[in-house]
Amino acid sequence: MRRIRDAIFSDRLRTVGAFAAIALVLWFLWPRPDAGKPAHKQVLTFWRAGTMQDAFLEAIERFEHDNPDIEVIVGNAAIRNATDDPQRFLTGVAGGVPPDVIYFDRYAVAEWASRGAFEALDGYLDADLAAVRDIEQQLSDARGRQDHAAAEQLASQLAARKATLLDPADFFPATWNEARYDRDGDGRAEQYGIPATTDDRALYYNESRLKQDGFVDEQGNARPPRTWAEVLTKRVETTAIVEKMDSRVVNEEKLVCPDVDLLAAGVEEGDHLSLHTGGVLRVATVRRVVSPHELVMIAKGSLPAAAYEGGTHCKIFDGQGYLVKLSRWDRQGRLWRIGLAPVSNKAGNSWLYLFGWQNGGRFMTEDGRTCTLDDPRIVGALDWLVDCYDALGGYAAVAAMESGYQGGWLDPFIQDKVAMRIDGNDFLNVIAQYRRQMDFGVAPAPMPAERLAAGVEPISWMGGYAYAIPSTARNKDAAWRLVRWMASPEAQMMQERMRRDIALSQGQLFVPGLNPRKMVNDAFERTFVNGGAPLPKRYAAAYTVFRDLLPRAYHRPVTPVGQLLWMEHRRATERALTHDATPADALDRGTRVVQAQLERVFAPPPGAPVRWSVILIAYAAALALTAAGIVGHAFRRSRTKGYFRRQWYAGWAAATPWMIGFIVFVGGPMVFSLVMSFTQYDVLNAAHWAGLANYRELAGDPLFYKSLYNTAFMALGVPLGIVAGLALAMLLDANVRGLSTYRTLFYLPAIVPAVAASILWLWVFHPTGGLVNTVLGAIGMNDWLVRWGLDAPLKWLQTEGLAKPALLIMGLWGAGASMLIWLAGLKSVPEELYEAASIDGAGPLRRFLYVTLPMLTPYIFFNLIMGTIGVFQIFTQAYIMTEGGPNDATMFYAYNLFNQAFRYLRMGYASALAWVLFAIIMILTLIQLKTSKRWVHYAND
Amino acid sequence: MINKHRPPTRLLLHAVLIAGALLFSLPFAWMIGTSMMDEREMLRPGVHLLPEAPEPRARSPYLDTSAFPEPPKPRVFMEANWNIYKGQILAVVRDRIEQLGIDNPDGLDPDRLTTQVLHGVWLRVLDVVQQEKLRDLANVIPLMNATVTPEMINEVLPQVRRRLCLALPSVRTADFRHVDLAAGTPAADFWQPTSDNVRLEPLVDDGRDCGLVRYDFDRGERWQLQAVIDRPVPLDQIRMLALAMRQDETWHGYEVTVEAGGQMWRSAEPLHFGGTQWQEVLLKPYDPARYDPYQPHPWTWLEQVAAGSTFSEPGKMRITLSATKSSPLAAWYAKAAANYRLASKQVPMWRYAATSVALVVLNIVLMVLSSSLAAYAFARLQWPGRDFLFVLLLATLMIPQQVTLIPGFIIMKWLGWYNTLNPLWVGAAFGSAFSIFLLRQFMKGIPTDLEDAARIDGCGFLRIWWHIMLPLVKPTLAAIAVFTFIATWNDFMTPLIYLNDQRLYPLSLGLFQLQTVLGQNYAMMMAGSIMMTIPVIGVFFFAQKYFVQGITLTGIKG
Repeated sequence: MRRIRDAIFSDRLRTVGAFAAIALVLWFLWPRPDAGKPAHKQVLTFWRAGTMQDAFLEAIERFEHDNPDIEVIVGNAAIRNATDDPQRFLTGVAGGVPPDVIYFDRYAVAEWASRGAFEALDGYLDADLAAVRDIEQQLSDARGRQDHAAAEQLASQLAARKATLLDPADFFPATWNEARYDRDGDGRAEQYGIPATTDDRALYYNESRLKQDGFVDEQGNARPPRTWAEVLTKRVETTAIVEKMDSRVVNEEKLVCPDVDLLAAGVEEGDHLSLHTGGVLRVATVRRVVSPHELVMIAKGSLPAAAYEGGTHCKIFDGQGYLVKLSRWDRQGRLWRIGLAPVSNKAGNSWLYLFGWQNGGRFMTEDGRTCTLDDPRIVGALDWLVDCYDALGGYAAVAAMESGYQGGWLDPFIQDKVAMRIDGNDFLNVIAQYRRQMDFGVAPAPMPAERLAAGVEPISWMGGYAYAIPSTARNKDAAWRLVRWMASPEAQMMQERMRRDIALSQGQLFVPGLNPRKMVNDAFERTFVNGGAPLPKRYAAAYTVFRDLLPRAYHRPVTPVGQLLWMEHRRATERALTHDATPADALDRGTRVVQAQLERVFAPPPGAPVRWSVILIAYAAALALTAAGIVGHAFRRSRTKGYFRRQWYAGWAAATPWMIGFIVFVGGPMVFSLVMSFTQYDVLNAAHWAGLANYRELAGDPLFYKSLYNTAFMALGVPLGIVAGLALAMLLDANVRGLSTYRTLFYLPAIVPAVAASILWLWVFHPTGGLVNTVLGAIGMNDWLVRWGLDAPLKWLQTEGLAKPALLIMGLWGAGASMLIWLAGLKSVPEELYEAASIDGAGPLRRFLYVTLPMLTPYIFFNLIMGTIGVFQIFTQAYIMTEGGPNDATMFYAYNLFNQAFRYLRMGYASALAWVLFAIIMILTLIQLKTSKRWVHYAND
Repeated sequence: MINKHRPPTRLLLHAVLIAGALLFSLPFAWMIGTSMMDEREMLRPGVHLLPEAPEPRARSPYLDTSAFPEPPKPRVFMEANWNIYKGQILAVVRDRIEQLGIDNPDGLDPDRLTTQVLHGVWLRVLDVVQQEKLRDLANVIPLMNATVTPEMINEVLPQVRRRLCLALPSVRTADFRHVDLAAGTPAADFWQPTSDNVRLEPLVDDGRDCGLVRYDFDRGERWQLQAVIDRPVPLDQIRMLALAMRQDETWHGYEVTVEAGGQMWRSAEPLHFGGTQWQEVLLKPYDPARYDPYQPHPWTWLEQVAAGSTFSEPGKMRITLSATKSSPLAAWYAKAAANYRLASKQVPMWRYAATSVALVVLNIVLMVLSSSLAAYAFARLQWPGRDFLFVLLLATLMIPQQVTLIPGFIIMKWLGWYNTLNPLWVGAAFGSAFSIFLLRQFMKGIPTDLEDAARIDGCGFLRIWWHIMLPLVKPTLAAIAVFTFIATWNDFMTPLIYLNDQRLYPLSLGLFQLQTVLGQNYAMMMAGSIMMTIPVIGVFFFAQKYFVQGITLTGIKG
């Protein structure tokens, strides 16, 4: 026993040394961001998504130079896009430590302002204006007094003040008003953001393609379409019957239309047909009209068999329209060039919003209380869009064609694969960068002819960013100074000039952006379009088109449900274009969804406010009672003394850290979360009781079911992982030479950090450059995939049907972790059992089935349970790789919960989700436990 | 099952294992390979695990034959047919190109240049024409005459010829002006060669007036260009020096010095001619007072050289660009390191790594101490409420993290710990149910003799825990430490929720930030991912025993 005492003594030094070393390491490595910074400086945080451009950083540096008392920390705060992904910003607002200034998409400002996330800026605007008035007054006084020295000083002061004065009258109204919202409902809107940038949309056209197809004016210049009718005119829509013809011309077919008079409808040779049968769309050209009810056509590609059997839905379009004539199909009927894809991500950037406005539609009523997405004029616009896509051969055909293209050099417009596109002015820079010499032109997007006839001038759609100050920001006054500077004409000019310098130094053309302030915009035009190195005429003309459209540009409705309206209007468009619903039905459904949300927003809080103190006291009382019960009971029952009593105290003391942790971070939160699931709570405003509303909403939420389905799909990975791991383990169990090397190689993928692995697999699954697709391409699989009706090269993470399998494959890469468990399991199978089985004449397969597998069932069981729980936690991959998309295909349970909680701040609803998850896991585990008795064999049973 | 395999089976087994190991390692190889590529290489058609070898050519300008090695086959042709018609069709294109003419100021071999341009143009042609039309051989000539344009040739040319061009540099001053140096002089006259293996020729490249640098390392291992100019502002008023150049992808090293008034500044990091596009190389005088490591700094620092300079002409400054020949090995190193350098210039990866290491250390220490203490109480001590609490502990194993996530956030906010590192380590101070459970099972199995002996010697409970229990469960503690390491290092959701000051990020969030900054630049993303993965792999190799043990331990308890 001496040895123990000696050991204790000599250990002491080492222990102290070890802890000192740890403390030293921590002291060195712990981040101390503010160390060495002068104390008098105010620190401002400025968030802006994306890459920090030099020009932007320089403007900030200039601000710091002019305001020595302020230091600005600029960062993108790991946000991809502040609007689509406001989670980090909102968590910051909720946590009370938001950035001081944020650069935010203007259309979303109102939505978060309505929730109290932004500070109203009217006070600052008024104060600045008052200060200017004050100096003006003093100046006129000084002039009156003939005090020239004071007047001069005041005049320069006034000039400096005026340089950063924000006057709403200077701004294009649409840019200013988009960030105005009446939060308190007093009929007077407040300003929540200062417009920073703007853009608008117009039609780009490829002059060569237009000339090639004869769309020219008298001088032989390309002539863009001005009306919807010029783009596409539908002659007739009817149900028809296709008949096979005994013709020498391939694909020549007869079409019988009993219900309409083709000649009266003006159908003629060269007209364009779209045929819709059994979910398949094909296009065809009219060869000749035989009789009022019969025509001969040449189909592009072969028609599906169903086309010859029943009625075919058929639309006949004027073959001379821009859209039809500029489009090209190859012999298989595949789209090869698109004339115009009006609503498209890749072949342009315009949405139903623009076409609805063009047709005179409104998406919200004036008072902002009613959603009018189903306005007949919007339905009319969507009808026309559906016709456009049908004429092209269907939405899927367009998507398939576009998917081969990307941005930049591989843009379809630059590659001549799209003859016209509706896009923002930014696209000018893409052309300038990647195909400077291109023959292109820009014109206002075509309008409905009757609206033009009624004297409406072509309109556009304006978007852009704004500077905003979060409501819980700490240095609001300094933040306002920064906003004022960043929005000032000088800062805007400075940034634009620097952008030009950089572009020119890289040998590129520079087309300036559009500015929300008219005078700045004029200065841009003077300096960067006409002055200095003037832009080529083509670009200057295009810039002028965009500039002239600015005063007639519309902005998205300012509403607290802006994002939902945006999502739903896109969803309705997609449903109509894919013939999932008629335009009217699709828009109607969207309207109902948005309206329901609107009503929820404007409805008063449902129940009484939650008094957390009561719940806290109740929790504390319950804990105290339990503790008192246990302790009291023990003291009454047992009269232990001395060592055993000391053991009590030691036990309690030793378990205390865990108990505190349990009370504060497990038990308390459980109670808290259960209570919250019955409330409506967004952290920014007080919680209100909501009864079962959250659970009811959950039961009717399609996203909840979809996330459950997605998660269940991923549960396939559990047995797959078990099989893969077991297979590897069986191979390694054979005591081969180099076992540990193999083991290491198989196991390594399992320890790659999830973030790193996600980024790696994002690249592995990249459609054009990724490992999987290049290997598939190299072994000639792409042709086969196309033959099997798949769209090759596969868009793994961008296709709804492939995204989850892709993540499963990625999961299998980490099967090495379970392999280690199986290895241990296999080692634990007694050798005698195998010998006995061999003696009984069992071959390897039988030995595996009747010895190995039963002996491994405890491991399988354990892995099944842990795997199931793990599936419900899948988050990082989905967050980094797919953001839950495409079309919510990777919206897993944990991700949905995270979004509800930290992206939409719906803490009550998210808590309800959490408790449902808890229940599901409990039930699954219970089922597994119950059934396990039947198939799990424990060795000692 | 042991050692019963006959040699052929064994061979087959090895074959399967090697194939499997290759398959599992493939993404790693892909990751490492990509991290050394530039964007152009990444989009090459075909499977490329390895980056192209850098070619430190002695002479520049030169013709790069690697961009378009072979004219690809059109989709509509079968292999055999293509071999028959290839010559005929390509000859038509070649004629057309020769008819249009190629501008060749670099003095490259015209025949080889035309061949490379042909390959590049052909690729472009396949993009633009309807490939079916190529089968109509009779009409190929008019088709090609209509398709192949001078514009197409001009687009291909920069991809096949490599040249080093220098345009006039500019200076950004402390009062936010941009000053072009020696504005008005031809760029070729700006620089004066100081060695005879280099000369400058006037050239207009991509619409820019510049000097084409012709050099030849066979005639000397170094060359140098120098410019003596009027100083636009005093040296300490220069915020940034911008050298506009198109590089020739030879991966030779170069260095820039700026001298004025007896002072000398020199580029602090190795620079290389690695690019092919026009770019601005930014050089910024290093000022410790203004240095913020958390901001992106896409420039190269200029450091003051203590020795000073002999150049002290009043009102003048001297810029020197001196290039050194790279050996193939040096070129490889420069190329391999390029993306890692750029990534850590965008995001302070090393600082984030330090934060992660600190968190890992703290988490491990706290987790091991608190868990083992609680486990000791549950395993070896008799106290009222123990069994009840143990059941509670087992129950918490079942609670999914999501249930406590939201209240956890609100509690942390209430404690004022939002946007601090506390939420990332405080939890460990209370132990985890899982480790407590695991340790308890092991402590249960320890015989009581040792404990009794220590007690007789006068040890208290704390000492028994520290001196008897902990040493005996060391392997389990090691496994727990390993798990805590992995969990902390890899944790992404917690920092995502709790941190918004970029100066506090751990590496996981830092890597994600890199992704939000660089977006589509996968080469740099791979470099970042590797930086995050290597420590884990390193720890794995040192603590492999405990990894395996830990995994096995946790897997067994059914």
